[in-house]
This record gives sequence, structure tokens and C-alpha cells, in this order.
Amino acid sequence: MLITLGIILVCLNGILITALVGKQFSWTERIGLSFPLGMTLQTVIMALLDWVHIPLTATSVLLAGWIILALLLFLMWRYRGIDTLRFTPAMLNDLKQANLVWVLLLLLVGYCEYMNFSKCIFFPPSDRDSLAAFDTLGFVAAHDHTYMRMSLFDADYNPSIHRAGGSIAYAPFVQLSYAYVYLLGAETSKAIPALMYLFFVIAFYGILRRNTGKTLAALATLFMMMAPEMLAFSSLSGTNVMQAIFASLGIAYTASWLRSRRDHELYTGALLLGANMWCRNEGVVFIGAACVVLLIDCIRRKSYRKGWYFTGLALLPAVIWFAYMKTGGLYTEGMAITHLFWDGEKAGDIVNGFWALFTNTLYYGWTFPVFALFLAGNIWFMIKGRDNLPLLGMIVLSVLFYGLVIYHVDYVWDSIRNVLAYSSKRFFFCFVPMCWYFAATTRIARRGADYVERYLSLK
Amino acid sequence: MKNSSAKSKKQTPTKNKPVTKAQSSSGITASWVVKNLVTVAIVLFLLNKLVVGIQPGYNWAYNMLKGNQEIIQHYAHTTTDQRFEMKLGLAHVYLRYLKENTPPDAVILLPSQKAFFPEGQERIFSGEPFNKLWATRFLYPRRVIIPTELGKTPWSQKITHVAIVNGIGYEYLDYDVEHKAAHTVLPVHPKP
Repeated sequence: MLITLGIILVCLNGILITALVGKQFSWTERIGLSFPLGMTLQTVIMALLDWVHIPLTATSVLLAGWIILALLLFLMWRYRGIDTLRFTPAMLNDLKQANLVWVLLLLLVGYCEYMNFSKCIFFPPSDRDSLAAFDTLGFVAAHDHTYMRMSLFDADYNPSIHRAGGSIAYAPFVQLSYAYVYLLGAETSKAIPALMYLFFVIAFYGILRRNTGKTLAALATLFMMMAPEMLAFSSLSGTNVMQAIFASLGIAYTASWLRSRRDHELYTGALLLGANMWCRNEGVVFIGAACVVLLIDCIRRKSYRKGWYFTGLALLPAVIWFAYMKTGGLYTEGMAITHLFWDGEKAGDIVNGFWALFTNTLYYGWTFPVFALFLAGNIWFMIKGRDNLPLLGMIVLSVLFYGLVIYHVDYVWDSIRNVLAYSSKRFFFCFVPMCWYFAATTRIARRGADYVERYLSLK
Repeated sequence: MKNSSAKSKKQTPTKNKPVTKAQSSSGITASWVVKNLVTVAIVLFLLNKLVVGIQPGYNWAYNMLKGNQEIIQHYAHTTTDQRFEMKLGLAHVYLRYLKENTPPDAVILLPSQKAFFPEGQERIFSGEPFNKLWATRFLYPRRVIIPTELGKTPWSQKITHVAIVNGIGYEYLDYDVEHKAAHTVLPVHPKP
């Protein structure tokens, strides 16, 4: 009962965040974004409570959540107006102009997500990374009523906690969200990954629908969510899929702003990219890629104000986290190589490893072949009208920055070949939704989508 | 006034005409049904034959979901503890045994990886029950100490129990045990 109340509270806070950010969201987007954004806010609040030595209990986290809800409601009423949340009749247009293929694809998305959701909820966390880190840290934090000062972070009790790659320095989103559900009486933490993927599928369809035809949006959503390795990992308790959710939606919203110039998309992109770094430290690569593309855009438009807002919002969670870590002594031995160097063998291994992943259809289905196909097919429009060029820039830069991060890590605990073979496949989940979003929003895809809608939809 | 009313009277039927035309072509028509049903059939065929049928990744993913649905329906009434056991096997059974046979304030010395997975013997455990964090998930609030920490932390002086795995761990007790069981948990000091 308490857990249901907690999840509803999180969703309400998420909806109110979208209401504060802008009036132009569809309800599909609002609902889809509600849980990821609401949970991010809830975990930030928990970190702040913990920082000021307020014990994390069911009462304290729920009370803080309700206070934030009241504050968000007031801000929305004061600055946006209650009609921000009105149910727009335009949203019924898709139903009025339905076609059976769209209905079929949505049913398939719903059916597959139902199976995935029930699988995720049914099985308790059992994968190595969850039990040796994320789930256990959330569980112990909930029972110790603190994250920063939990027993497992006491070096006297756990002397290896500060070693290179130790879980003490992992970004806190997943652990704190697990602590949240454990505090509210959950037996396992699986409600979090299950709900994150469910809401992600809705949000992805929502942002895609904004930029392309409804049938194509449903088809791309189906293929995106069924990318085999990502689907399999979405029902585990690791961080990679959750980071992919934040990073890909953040990049998609930023790209959508560059196309439409509707400011709520820019700020949503910034919030989501901020959440992506609140989830995994290496999420900085996506913020970096988006900032480079936005900088070019700012230089072209000779206006930097929104670029600054974006950068500030996207880095805010990371700033809070680094200050929290500094205060709490949450550090690990360095594993980054901070000087410039050239290691041809290592660079070659990374390039080969990345290529092997991009061409692996067993892991990612048709994601990257479809991306390559639409990239080639859209090249004329890209050169002529810069169609989807900023999005392509963000994807390519993210891959490049990811490569640089891997290149600059000193692999003292494992070989780089093992990391590329077993860990990097999970890093690439971020690119799966981005590539489907890219393919479905290219000019040729949108033209095709228009034709499909004209041919199939009710007039 | 007259003119205007006459005008509006004249305009009314012409205004209505296109609306009537639109109404006649809007809504569900026979051609819409045929076009949609044919396209649905084509899409279903392509998804079934080309996507699930030919592409091994999608085939695996879909069958994995379907297979799990059968398991979920079959074991719908199991408890969370039983589901942990389904996934983690004897590792979970053993850690539960430790939990049930030690007090909440116990400090348990857990044997090394080699004790759980001895070379040349059949592996009966799965997962990483030798891992401090992994084991803590099931033993909390009991404290877990691993052999590499002995002598390095103040907690290694506070050990109250020793977990015995595959007969390994008796060497940490300060008394002799007559009947040595392969898997058990014993207090580090003899009971008075």
C-alpha cells in the first residue's frame, strides 16, 4: 500500500515537473516522463536529506515528497496556470484518424511490454552487478537509514570499498531509488527497473510521435524496445538500461528543440541528460556531445543564453553528487589516466571492439543496419538542408567521447578486451533508442510516414 | 439587411455541400477496411517471417519473453524467498541457513571463493556467495567478514561465527569439532 502511494507520488511530481517546464507536452509524453523525472527528483531529495543528517525513513522520504508536490503545485499555479495540464482535444486526433496497422503495432508494443514487465517484477534481483552493488547498497541504505554513512561504506568494516572501480563512487540514482522502494516496504527492488522501462516506452513513443507519423512512431518503438540485449537487461537491476533511458530521451529532446525551437524541449533535454549523469558518471559523454552541438548552434545564432541554461541544468545533478561525495568521503582510488598519451594497440582494440558491437545484430537486432540505411538514404537532405544533422552529430560525438573515456581508463581490475567484449555491449544501449529516433525522424522516413498515414488512416 | 439575409440563405446550401461530401468519405468505409486489413496481414506476415522468423536476436527475445510467461504462470503462487531460490539455487539456500542459525548481531567469517568452488569438484553453488556485498544482501543485519580482511580490520577481531563450506572453515575455530559436517555454521568460540 505504502509503495503504491510512493510510486503515485513520484509520478505526480514528475507530471508537475513537465507542467513547470512547458505547456506543449502531449499527455503521452507527460505520462512517459513522469516516472523517470519524478524518481530523479525523489532521489535528489533523498540525497539532500541524507546530506543534512535527516534519517532516510518511510516517513521522511514521503513527507519530503509531499512537500515538494505542494511546492511544485504552487509554482505551477503561480507561473504556468492550472490549464497547463489540460487534456488537449488535439490528442484525440490520432484516435479519430486511426488505422489498423497503428492499432496492431501499439497492441504488440503493449503485449511485449506486459510480458517484459511481469518478468521483471516476478524474478527477484539475481544478476551479479545488482547483488554485488546496486541492489545491496539500496537495501542496506534503507535499513541503515542513510546512504552516505551506511555500514558498507565504513572502511573499517569494508576495507576494499575505496579500491579502483569500487561501488562507493557509483552515481546514486539506482541505489537511492532502490532504497526508496525498500523503505516503503518492497520485498525486492524490481519495481524500479520495471516501471522505468514501461514509462520509457511511453515517453519514447511520445517524443517520436511529436516528430513523425503515428504508425512509424509505433513501429520504431516496437523495434527499439525489442532490441534483444537491451530488452533482456531491462528486467535486471543494473544501471545501463536506466542510463540509456535518460541519455537517449535527453538527446532526442535536445535534437527535437534544434528542429522546432520550442523551449520546453530544450529544458527537458537538459533535465534528462542531468538525470543520465545522476545515474552513471560516464553519462558526461552525452552532456558533452549535446553541449558541443549546442555551442555550434549558439555561435551560428550568436545567442548563448539558452546554451548556458542548458549546460547549467544538465550539470546540476552532477555538481550535487560531487559535493555530496566530497563531504561524505565517498571516493575510490583513481583509475583514469589524466595525461595525454598514445597507445596504438589500445586504440585499435577500442575501434575493433566498437565495430564488432555495431555490426552485432544478435545484441541489437536491426538497430544499427537500419540507422546506416536511413543515414545513407537521407544523406542528400542532410547535406542540402542539414536534416537531422545535429542529432547525427550528437550520436557520433557520444560514440567518440565514449571511446575516449574507455581509452583513458587504466584497466587494473580487468583487461580492456574483456571490458569491450562484456561491458561495452551494455554501454551501447544508449545508442539503440537514439538510432531508432534518428531513423524515424529523417526526412525520407517522415515522407514515407506521411504517405502511410494518408493511405491508411481514417479521414 | 434583406440582401445580407438573402446572401446567407443562398450560401447555406453551397457551404454545406463540401461538408456532406466529406462526411460521405469520412469514417469507416469499405475501402478503408480492405486497405487496412490487407496491410495488417502484410505487416503480421513480415513481422512473423522476417523479424521473428529470420533474425535470431528478435527470435530469441520474443521466445525468452514467452518462455518466461509460462514460468510465471506456473510458479505464480511462490514467495519472494522461493523465487530467490529459483534464481540463485544452493547459494541462496546456504545463506538463508546462515541467517536462520545466527543472531542478528552476528559477525560471520565467510570462506573464500575456493571453498565455495573447490578445484576438481562439482560446483554446487552458483553466483558469488563468497562476495561480501553479495552475501550481505541476504545476511543483513549480520556483518560479513571475508578471509582477505583477517587482521586488516578491527571487525576481524569481532567474529562470532564461522561459515563452513565444503568442509572448509574449521581451521578458524579455536576448538576441535568431532563430527565435521560439510556445510554448517559454528560459533568461533566453544559454547560455555
